[in-house]
Amino acid sequence: MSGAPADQPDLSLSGADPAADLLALYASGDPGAARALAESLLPRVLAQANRMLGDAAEAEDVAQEAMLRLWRAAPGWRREGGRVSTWLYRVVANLCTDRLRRRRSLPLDDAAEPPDPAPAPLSRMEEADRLRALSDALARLPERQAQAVALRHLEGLSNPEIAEAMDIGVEAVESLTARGRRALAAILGSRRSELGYEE
Amino acid sequence: MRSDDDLEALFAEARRAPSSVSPELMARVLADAAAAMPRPRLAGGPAAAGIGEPPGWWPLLGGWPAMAGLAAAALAGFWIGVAQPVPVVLLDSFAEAGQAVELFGLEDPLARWEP
Repeated sequence: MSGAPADQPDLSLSGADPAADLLALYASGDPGAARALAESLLPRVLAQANRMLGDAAEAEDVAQEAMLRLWRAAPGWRREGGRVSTWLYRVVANLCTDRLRRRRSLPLDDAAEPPDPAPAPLSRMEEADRLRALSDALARLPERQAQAVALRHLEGLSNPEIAEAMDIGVEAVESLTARGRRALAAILGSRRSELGYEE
Repeated sequence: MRSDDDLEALFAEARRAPSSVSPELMARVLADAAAAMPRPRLAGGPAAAGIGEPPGWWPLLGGWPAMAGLAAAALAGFWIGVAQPVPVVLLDSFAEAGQAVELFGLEDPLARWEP
């Protein structure tokens, strides 16, 4: 059973959505609401993108784009459409799979190297390579499988929460995560020694 | 199921991966917010409209229905102004019953939309 990262928001179905309250204030022209929203939501958005992409620069681009879409959605935001956090999970997942799809078309030599001004210890370098390998493997899955697996195993969302974020049924989530996980295991299994796992 | 255990280990590693919002990223996000923010309403005076909202004096003029009538009247006035007048026909020519006289060379502005 995967544990949720510490930066997970409370997705309880209490009906209250403080982020929607702040978004309404922002839409009415309150600049303080924008800062409060950014401080509350941006860390989680960035973390989700980072976990799915394994690339800090790309994750920042995705995070900024996701927040931009939130600002633009503010005037027409409808609370009955769901929570802001759920909407952001969906937007970030879609933006990430867009990025992953572009990776599939890049020759390996053209893949961008993340900037690393300081020499990293070997253990950290291996971890970065493994996280990149995970996202490269996600890039090879059908996009809905990649999103379901990422929301389940990287974000720690429950199947009902994933169903709401992806606007599909719970049974579909279970099928997507199961198939996606098997495919990932097959893709990464051939690279075990390369990833630093002992035989 | 070693590959499955290894996959779970990889997931756990990804969940622990640190990420923090740099001041530069926060600044970019807030700049986007400022650029996209609807204009605030001005207190005590004519309201500055937010995105999609009509100004405060809009209902006083009758709203959209009144505006439709105003637009139609303005359009008719425009056509009357640009149409070339023809000489006024003497009253004698009205002797025939049912004769219609065209005083102005009005072109039906909606003719092109008739089916």
